Amino acid sequence: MISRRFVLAAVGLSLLAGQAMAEDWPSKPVTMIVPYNPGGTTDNLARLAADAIAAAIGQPVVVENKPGAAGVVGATLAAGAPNDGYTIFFGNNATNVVQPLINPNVSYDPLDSFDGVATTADAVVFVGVGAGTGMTDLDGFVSYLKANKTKFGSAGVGSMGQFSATYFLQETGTEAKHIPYQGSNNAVAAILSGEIEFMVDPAVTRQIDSDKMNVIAALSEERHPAYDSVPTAKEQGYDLSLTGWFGIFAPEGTDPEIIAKMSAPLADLVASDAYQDQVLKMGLLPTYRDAAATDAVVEKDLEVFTAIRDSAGISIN
Amino acid sequence: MIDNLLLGFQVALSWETLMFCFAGVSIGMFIGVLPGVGPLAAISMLLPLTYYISPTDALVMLAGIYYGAQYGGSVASILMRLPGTASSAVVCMDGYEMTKNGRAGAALFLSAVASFIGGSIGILLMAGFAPVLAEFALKFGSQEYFLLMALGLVAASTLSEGSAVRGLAMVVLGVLLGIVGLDITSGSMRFVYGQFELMDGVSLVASAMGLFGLGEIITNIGQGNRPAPSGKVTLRSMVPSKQELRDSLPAIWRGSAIGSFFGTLPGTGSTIASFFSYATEKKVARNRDRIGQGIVEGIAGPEAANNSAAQTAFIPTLTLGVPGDAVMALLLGAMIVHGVTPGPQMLAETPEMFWGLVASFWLGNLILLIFNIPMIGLWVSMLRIPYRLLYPAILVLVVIGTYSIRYSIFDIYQLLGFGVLGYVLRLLSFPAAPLVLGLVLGPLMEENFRRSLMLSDGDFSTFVTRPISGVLFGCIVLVFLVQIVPPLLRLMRKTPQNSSKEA
Repeated sequence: MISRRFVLAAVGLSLLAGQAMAEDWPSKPVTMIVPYNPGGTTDNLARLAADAIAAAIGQPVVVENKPGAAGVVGATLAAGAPNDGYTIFFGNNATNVVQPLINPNVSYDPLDSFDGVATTADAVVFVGVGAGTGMTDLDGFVSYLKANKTKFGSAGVGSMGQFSATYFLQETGTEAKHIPYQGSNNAVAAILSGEIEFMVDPAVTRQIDSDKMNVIAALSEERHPAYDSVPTAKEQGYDLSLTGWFGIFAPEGTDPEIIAKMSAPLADLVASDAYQDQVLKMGLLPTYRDAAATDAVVEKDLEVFTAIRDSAGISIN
Repeated sequence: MIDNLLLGFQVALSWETLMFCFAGVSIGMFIGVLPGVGPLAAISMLLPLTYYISPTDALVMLAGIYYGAQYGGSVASILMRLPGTASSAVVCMDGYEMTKNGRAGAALFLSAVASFIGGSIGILLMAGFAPVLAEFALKFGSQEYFLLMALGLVAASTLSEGSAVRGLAMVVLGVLLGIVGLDITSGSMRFVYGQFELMDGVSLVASAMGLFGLGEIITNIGQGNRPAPSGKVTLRSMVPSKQELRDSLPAIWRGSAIGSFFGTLPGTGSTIASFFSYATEKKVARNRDRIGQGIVEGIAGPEAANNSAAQTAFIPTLTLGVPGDAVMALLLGAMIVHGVTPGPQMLAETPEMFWGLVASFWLGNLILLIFNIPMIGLWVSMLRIPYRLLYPAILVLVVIGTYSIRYSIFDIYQLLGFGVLGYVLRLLSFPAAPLVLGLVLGPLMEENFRRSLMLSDGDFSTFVTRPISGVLFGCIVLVFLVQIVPPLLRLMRKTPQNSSKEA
C-alpha cells in the first residue's frame, strides 16, 4: 500500500514538475544538435533558426555539430536526450525519414522518437540531363529513356538522389541504371563529362547556365523563384512532386507548450524579408510548417519513401 | 590576360582586400602548423562571420586559409615528425631526418621556397588556362581515375626506406583499413560492428597523426630522452647550401607539375599529389639512393606539389561549379550565399571576382613567403623547449585537432589506436607512409574500379580502349617493367656466369 501511495505521489509530483518546467522554461541555454559539419546547408539554416529562437525565449540556443554516418550520429544522440525542452534537433527528411527506413542499425523511429517543432525550408528537386542526350524537356527525355540504355548518378546507395531518381523513373514508367558516386558533386561532374546521362537532385541547379547540362524540370508545385527559367514537371504534363525539407524536432514527449514557444518565432523568421532573401540564394524555398504540419509531413514522406524503397529494394546492411 | 590580371590586382591591392588576404593566410598558416587542425575546421568556423563583408573579401580570406594551411603544414612535420595536415605527412620522412642532422632551418627555408614556387605555378596555370584545364579534367572518367591510383600504388610500392616487402605489406594494410565503412556501391556496411562513427570509414587525420605524431612521442618516451637536435640557429644553418638549392630545383618543377595536375582533378588533391611527388623523387632524384635519410628533394618536391594542388583545386570549383573536396564544397557554398554562382559563367559575369581571387592568391603566397622566412628562427628554437614540456603540449594539440574534424570522441580513440600501431610498427621497422597512402588510395581505387565495370557492363577492356586509359595502362606496364627488369637482367647475367663456372 505504501508503495502504491508512494508511486501515486511520485506521479503527482512529476506531473507538477512537468507543469512547472513548462512555465519556467527556459531557465538555462538550449542545445540544438546539428547532424552535419558547420558551414553546410543544414548548418546554415540551423544557425538562422537558433538565433531566432534565442531572441524570442531570452536564452542562448547553442548549436552543437555532431556529424557522421549521414546524420545518424546526431539524430541518435538527440532521440535519446531528455525531453525537457533543453535539447532540440535540426534535421531533414534524410535524417528523420530515409535513414531509419534503409539502415537497420538506426535505433530511432521517424514518428515515435521525435515531436515536430517546425520546418524552416524546403529543397526543390530538379532533373538535370547531360547535353549529350540533346533533350531539353520532359517529354523528349522520357522517350529518350524508353529508347536508350541510360544511367543516372547519385551520392551512393540510400542517398536522396537515388530515391528521387527512382521515384522519377517509377512515375514515368521508365528504367535506368544506378551509378553511385562519392557525393553528389562528383555525380554532377560525371554528367558534365558524359559518363552518365542524368540526375534528379537539387545539386544540378548550379549547372543551369552550363552548356553541358540541361536542367529540364523542377519536381515542385510552382517554379523556384531563383531558377524561374526551369518549368515544373506539372507544367509539362507530369504529375511529379517530391521535395526535401529542413526542420526542428524535439525528443518525443516534450511539452507541447515548450514546442509552441519555439515554433512561434520561427513563423516570424521565415516570413521575414532577410530570411527569404538568404534562403532563396541558397537555392532553397523558405517554407514554414507548424508543429502539427511538421509531424504530418514526416508521416506523409514515410509513406512515399517506404513505397519507393520497397519497389526498388533500396537498403544498406 | 594582362588586362585581366591588371583588373585582378586592382581588386586585390585595395587596402581592405589586402588586409583580409593577410588575415586569411596568417590564420591558415597558424592552423596548418597546429597538428591535426585543418583548414576545414577553421573555414567552417569563420564562414558565418564573412556574411558581413563583401563577397570578394570573404572569399579572398577563406581561400587564404586554405592555401596558407599548406605552408604551415610542413613546419611540424619537419621539426617534430608530426604532420600538420595530412598532405604534409610525406614531408615527415626527409624533413625530420634533416632536423636530426641539424639542418632544420635549411629544411624549413626550402619548404617555404618550394611552396612559393609551386603555388605560383599553380596560379599561373589558373590565370592562363583555367577553362582549358577544366575541360581536360573532365576527360578523366572512372576508368582513368582507377588507373591513375593504380599507377600511384605501383610507383609507390617502395615508398620508404628498407625492404620493399615491408613497404608493400603496409600499402596492403592501408588498403584493407580503407575497406572499413559504408560501401557506396553496394550499400553494405563493412567491419562497422554497429559503430556509426565507423560508417564514414577510418579517419585519415587520426591515422596520420597517430602513426607519425603519437608514434614518435611514444618512441621518444621509450628511449628516455630525445636525441637533442642542435638547437643553435645561426644564419648559416638556415640558408641551404648551393648544392642543396641546385638539387631541389628540379624536384620543385616536377612537384609543381604533379601537384597542378592532381589539383585540377576533382576528388584527388594535395595529399595524393604530395605522395605522388615523393614517389617520383624516389625514382628520379639525383640523391635518390639516400631518400628517407634527409635529402632536400624529399621536401622540395612534395611541398611544391601540395601547394600547387591547393591552387589548381580552385579551377574545377570556379569554372565548372564542381568542388573537388570538402573544403572546396564549403567555399562554393559560401560563394552561393554571397550571391556568386561559380561555374562556366563566372569568368564572364563576375570577372573582377575571378581575377581578384587569382591576384590575391599570388599576393597571399608572397605574404606567406616573406612571413615564413623570419619565422624559421622562431620555429627552430621551439626544439630547445625541454622534451617534458613540449610533448605533453603537442599531445593536447593533436587530440584537439583530431576532435575538431567532426567533434567526435570516437576519433580520439582511433588516434590512440593508431598511435600504438605507429609505435609497434617503428619497433618492427615497418614504414608508416605506405600505410597512409594505401588508406588514401584504396577506397578511391575500389570505388572507381567497380564503377568502371558498372559503366562498361562488366567489360574489362574498358581500361585500355579509351585513349587516356590506354596511355595510363601503358605507363603502369612501363613502371612495372622498370622495377622488375633490371633485377631480372642482373639475375640472368649471373646465371650464365654461374653455369659457365660450373661447366
